[in-house]
Amino acid sequence: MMTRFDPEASASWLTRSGREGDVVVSSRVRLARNMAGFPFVHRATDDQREAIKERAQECLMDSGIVGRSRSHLMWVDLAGLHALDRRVLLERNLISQQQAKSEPWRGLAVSTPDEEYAVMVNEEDHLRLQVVRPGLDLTSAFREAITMDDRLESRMDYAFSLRFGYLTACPTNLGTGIRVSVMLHLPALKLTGEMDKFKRATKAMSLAVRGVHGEGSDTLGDFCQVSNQVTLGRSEQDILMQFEHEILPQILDFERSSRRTLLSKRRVMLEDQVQRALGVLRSARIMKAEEATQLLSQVRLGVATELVSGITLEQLTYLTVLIQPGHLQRLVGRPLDQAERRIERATMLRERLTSACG
Amino acid sequence: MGGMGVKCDMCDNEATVHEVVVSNGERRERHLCEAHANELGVLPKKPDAETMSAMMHKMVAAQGHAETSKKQAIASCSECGLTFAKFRAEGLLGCPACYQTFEDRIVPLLVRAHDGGEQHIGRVPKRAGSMVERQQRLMCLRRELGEAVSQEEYERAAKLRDEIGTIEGGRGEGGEERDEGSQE
Repeated sequence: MMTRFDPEASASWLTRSGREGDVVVSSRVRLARNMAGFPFVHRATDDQREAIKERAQECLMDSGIVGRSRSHLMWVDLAGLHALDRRVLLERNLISQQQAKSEPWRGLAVSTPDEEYAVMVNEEDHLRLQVVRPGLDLTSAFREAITMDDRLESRMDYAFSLRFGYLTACPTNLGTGIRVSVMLHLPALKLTGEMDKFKRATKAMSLAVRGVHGEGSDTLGDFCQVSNQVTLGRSEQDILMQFEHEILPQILDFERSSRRTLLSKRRVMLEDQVQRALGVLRSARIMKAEEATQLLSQVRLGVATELVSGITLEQLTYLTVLIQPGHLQRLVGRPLDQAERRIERATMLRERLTSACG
Repeated sequence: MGGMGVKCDMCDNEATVHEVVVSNGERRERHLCEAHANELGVLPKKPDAETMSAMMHKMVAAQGHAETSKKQAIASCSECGLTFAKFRAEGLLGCPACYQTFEDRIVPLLVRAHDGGEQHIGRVPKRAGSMVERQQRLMCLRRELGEAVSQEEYERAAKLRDEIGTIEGGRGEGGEERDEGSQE
């Protein structure tokens, strides 16, 4: 099972660039669900949490979502994994910080090797069903998520009320329980000083902007996750349509017009920044994760604006994950302290960026 | 809602408001004429009848209205023991029943967190039955009808009214079913 979480495994959002891939790294639809007859996870006893996990596992298997073949999701008892593997899953956004703890009642079902489908068991809610796609592809992610939901629901009584919809531990997820999100790369907004304007606009549109690893994480290297905040009083379709067809086009336009401005008015500055980033990545001997993320982000902007060739957007996305501590240690095949990680990180980046040219 | 021939529980007039309240697993039906529905607070305050055609008013009024909860402020959830103070401190409810227990105090928070949303619209578990889906569709159509009327789009309103009639005509015996406290 451990080998399944090979750092070089091919999660589709890390190996393929999708629609609008110059700005949208990945799309995700997540549904929060709870079973009737149990308290929410944080209020349940360990015995109840164990019972929730067993029931979830049973229903996931009976409904044909989890199984042994490659067309099924694979069940993972998180406590049975090495801490480093949990770290790898966290770095790939398959589990949350909370879920990465070693309690025996936490579970995960995940499709391999694409990692597009996942069900987190006993996170904040009993179940979180998620579908992730490369690039902008919320419609199919939504369709797949509700297919999983329907299959699971045929075996399980959800906590639901006609007034409040799907009942969730946190009232901010109540109603549809849907969180539609995209991971965006917005380097030009930052370079042109428009980030505050972007954040004000997202707030006015009732959107949440978070770091790449969800709530509480930083917006590293100009990557951020944007998601809907309203889940009650509007249908899933309504939320999805507005997000994909009204909100996102505006964000994409904003970032792209900032890129055009940089190319036309501050081209030398942009070239200098991109080439310096590439130069440091290809020659440094010691590299911190934050610095590497920032530099890779600048090279990614260089690729998107055709100032850099010989490397693809998806290779750069993949590298932003590979440089993280869990992946790096699994890649090298032994535990590394922080100083060793910085050296190995620099080595790996030099080797993998040889083909990139500015 | 008319034409079903059910009499008001309180008088001999035809009942135009039908309500099924499910509370603690018990089902209670009420059939009321408009006057008694108003008296019992089942309907919203009657809009200015002069500004709205009688037909429109009837349709909008039939949307129903939340029964103002008469529950006393309850200290803790009987199912899981969570206190409201603890919820305020941690931001998480303890169990599905908490939503009912603390309904009065949670709704204002929901309205703020969800841009005014306080009634679920969207998917319902199939196991909850097609009745629930139909009810949701009706609520949605009635909301649209109310909007159409307030914007004086009478052609759209007439279409919506017909659609509501079709859905209602397709149902079996019994009144309009709704969850306790459901509101439009």
